[in-house]
Amino acid sequence: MNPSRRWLSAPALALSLALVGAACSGGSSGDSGRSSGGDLPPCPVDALDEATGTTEVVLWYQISGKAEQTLKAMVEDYNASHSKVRVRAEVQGTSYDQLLRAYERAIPSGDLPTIVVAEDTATQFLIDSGTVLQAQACFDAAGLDTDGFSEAVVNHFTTDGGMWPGTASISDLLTYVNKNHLRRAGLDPEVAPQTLADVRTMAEQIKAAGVVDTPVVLRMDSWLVETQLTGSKQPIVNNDNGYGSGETTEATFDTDTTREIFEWVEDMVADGLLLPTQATDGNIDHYLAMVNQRASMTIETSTAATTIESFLGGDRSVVGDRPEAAQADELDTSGLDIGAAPVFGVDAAGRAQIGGNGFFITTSGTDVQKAAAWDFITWWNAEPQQVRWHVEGSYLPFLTSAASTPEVQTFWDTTLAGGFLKIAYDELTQNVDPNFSGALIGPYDQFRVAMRDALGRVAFQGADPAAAITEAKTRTDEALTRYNDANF
Amino acid sequence: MTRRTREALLAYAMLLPSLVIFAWFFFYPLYRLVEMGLHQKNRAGTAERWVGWSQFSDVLGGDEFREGVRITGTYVLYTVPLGLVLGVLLAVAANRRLKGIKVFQAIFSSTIATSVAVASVIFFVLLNPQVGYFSSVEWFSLSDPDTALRGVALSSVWQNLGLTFVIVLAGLQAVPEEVDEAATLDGYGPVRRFFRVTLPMISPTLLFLVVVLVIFALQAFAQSDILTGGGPLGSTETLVWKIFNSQQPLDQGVGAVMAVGLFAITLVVSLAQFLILERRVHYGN
Amino acid sequence: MATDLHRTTRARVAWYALLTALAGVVLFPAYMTLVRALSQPREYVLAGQPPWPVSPEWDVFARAFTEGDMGRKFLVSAVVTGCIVAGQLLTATLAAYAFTFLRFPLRRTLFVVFMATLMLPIEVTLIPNVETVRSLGWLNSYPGLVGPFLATAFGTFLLRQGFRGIPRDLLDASQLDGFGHLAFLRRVAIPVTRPVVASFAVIAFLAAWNQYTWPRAVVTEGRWETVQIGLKSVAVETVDRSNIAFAAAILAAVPILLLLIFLQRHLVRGLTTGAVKG
Repeated sequence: MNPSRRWLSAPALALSLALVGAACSGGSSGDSGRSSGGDLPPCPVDALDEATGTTEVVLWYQISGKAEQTLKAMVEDYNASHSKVRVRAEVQGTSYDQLLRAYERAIPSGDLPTIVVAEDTATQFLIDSGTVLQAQACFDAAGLDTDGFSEAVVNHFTTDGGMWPGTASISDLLTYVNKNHLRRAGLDPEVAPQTLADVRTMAEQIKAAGVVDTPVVLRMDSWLVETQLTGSKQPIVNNDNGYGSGETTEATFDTDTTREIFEWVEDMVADGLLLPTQATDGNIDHYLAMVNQRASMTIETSTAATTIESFLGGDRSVVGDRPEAAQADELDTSGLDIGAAPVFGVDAAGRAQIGGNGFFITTSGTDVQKAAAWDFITWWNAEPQQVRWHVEGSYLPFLTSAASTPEVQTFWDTTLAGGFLKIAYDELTQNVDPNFSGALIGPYDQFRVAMRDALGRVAFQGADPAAAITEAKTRTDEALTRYNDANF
Repeated sequence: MTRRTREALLAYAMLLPSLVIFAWFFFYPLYRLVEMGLHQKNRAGTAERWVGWSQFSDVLGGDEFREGVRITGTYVLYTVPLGLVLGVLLAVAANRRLKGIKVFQAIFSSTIATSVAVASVIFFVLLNPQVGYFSSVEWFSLSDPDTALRGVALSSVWQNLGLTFVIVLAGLQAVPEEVDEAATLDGYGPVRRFFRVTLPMISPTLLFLVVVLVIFALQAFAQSDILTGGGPLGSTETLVWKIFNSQQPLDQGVGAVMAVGLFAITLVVSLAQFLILERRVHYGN
Repeated sequence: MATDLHRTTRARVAWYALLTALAGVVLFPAYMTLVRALSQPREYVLAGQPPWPVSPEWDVFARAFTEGDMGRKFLVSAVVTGCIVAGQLLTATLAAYAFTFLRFPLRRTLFVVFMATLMLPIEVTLIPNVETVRSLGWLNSYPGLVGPFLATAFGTFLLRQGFRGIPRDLLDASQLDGFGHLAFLRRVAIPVTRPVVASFAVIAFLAAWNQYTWPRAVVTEGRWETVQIGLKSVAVETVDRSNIAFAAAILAAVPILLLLIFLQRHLVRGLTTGAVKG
């Protein structure tokens, strides 16, 4: 064997190393630019005019069910309508919390999407992170005002002089009742419970009539409490419920109202009148209990309206193949008579708190991308889209004129879901105080977990309400301290 | 250049690719973990400030880490003994000269083919509170904070069967037949033979397996991620789950400390194995 | 093996019965998944969840590709796994050779350094590694998915065991013939230890294909999901057609099942090297 051949092996080695390296490094999604930070940067709405070719806008969201199907369909329609902007919608995680965490993780390196559809509770965090544009600047630059939008919603998202997201998807809570159960218990099916006491009375009667074992089913979630506090004008945190100019330093929810709710839950569970369900990701036990007619009433977001209607109409795709759903199918859902009413409250019904999400434009990305994002949002805010997002996606109209279009009016008058959503919309316009629509908390997610755990411990593990509330307050206070501490 | 020097240079060149990867993705991160553990980042991750060793003591002595250790430790207790016993059971049952035994051996080792994700989806079929085949069994219900971890552990026990079986079977097959025959001639019944003769002979194999299973359990993450999302009420949030969910800037310091804690635990476990195994080798047969 | 237990037909029947029962228990979970994958979801539940398929939809596996986008996920997984296995074979073979046949300062120390990495699984080093990958712009990319796994202490150890079985004389003889180390590696060492190399390749393939935690940390875009982390998103996106998600899970296990069937020997040898003496 020729000795000089052995010198070939070293380069051959290097070559194979390089080949492996090259083969495995192909294809990367690239860097989407660094976050520019800074105070309230101006909104470059005109940048799109000078752009040639297609600008890609990445949108992060976490919505499920019929609303997700509608979002994706609408994005496709927007993309198909022209070639200047292409929106790529990416779902992140399986809950709003996971979406926010993924967003948080991406902040340091600037791999942020162009638009993030974040839960309304994330507003303060997004503002503090310095990674979102104040959409007010875009409205101003484009010569538009926010008068045509729901005042309560605009105020909900306004702080530091302007509105932050460019558009919002709104929901609030409704009480859903099984009217047949009310009939069988000798109650008037058109009268929904208004207060906690009402609920108990009706539940006792339904149970006594042998209709079901646990007439009330509720998801042990934080908004059970939030909604009551907001509805009765009690702040959840100090500093003007978070909207003040100072620092938000402590939770103020350990009030009599909160204790009353916790104790009511404890007593109802103990008396076998309430079936509590876990507030884990994607858990729809409360909804299924209604569908399977194992329970007679529950609270659920208005966004479930079209899902419920689809299901009753025979479209099972929105719920899937769960056993209860299938068994309800056997029972003939044409007999399932569901009614909706303003959400019952401590001492009055309709204590609504605004929920939902906002479409925030982030500061990462080029001016052209930001302008493209604004173009998409402007399109989204136009009447046809607002009508569609309401009628198909079940979110309440952000653009007030959408509510008076013939399409929406017909929807409200002639369909089951429309009927439900009209109640929700009236709740929004009549019962929500435009100047007191909820709290603005930085570590909102941690407050929610604390509250949810407290409720869960009382409902599932028999914990003492007062102790549970105190612990929730302590955890929230700690979260707030840590959060403020980290704003350096 | 002497031959020795050339040989050394060649050696370093051959080790270089591995060392670069190790330095970059193993050792530097270890250093960075300690560094992160001594700092706190602001919410946006744009600034870092020194907090010192107090963060280490606060986190390692704190509730969250303690919960993580408790949950992960419980997970070890749920998966390792049961996994070992079942693996031995399967291996003993299949270690015989019967016609068609290879088929059974193939079946028993089949769960090696499942990844954690696949095993979790498979157990989702069985345990999901809404559609699961066994959803009505309360003892390992995924919707009860007190029992959810058991359900999650069950998926690991099943997944580990294949690996445990393969390794124990190999260990059994390495036991010389003469030893077994001698014991039979001495009048030992099958059960006694197993406990007095076979088991001690495969004890190094079993110890190896214990360490492997413990390490797997310490690294548990995907099962919780897919089956329960950490819930209900945080009852399936293993240490790695907590670390994974501490990646956002504000929590990185805390997460880094927990990772160092996990590293220390893994180290102790491995060292314990090393010492026990070495001692066994010196005392045994 | 205790042949005295098999003498009577009754004993044999008892063993077969026990073995069959155990086999049933081991196969049950996967079997039920197959049943659910094939069954039309609603019909299956209406029928009371029997242990056999109901209204079988035989095209569900094809649908996993069309509706669940498994094709793209398989591609990503295939490239990632291929790169990792190739990379590990390369780096581990070189390192194992150096440790076995070459003399150089710090040899023992460097070997300890290699083995020390076994104490640092990706679960521990996750946070800083994600930071590194982010700063390089390697999120949602092949380098990001592959990088930390291009070298392996376990593989180095395994291959070193194999190389150690080669007599020193062979090396000396080849050097007398004028061949350098690399030639010896290529022409003698690797061919002779081919079984060990094969074993390691199988294990590396298994580990890389089945990875979850690291891809979960560095992928945020749907089109970069590997098969394993994609199972979750497929499940979420086809909640009304859950049989597709179950079919996807079965598909995810197929490559490894094939590996097991054809290369079982290699796998077993590789796994048991550390466990069994001799």
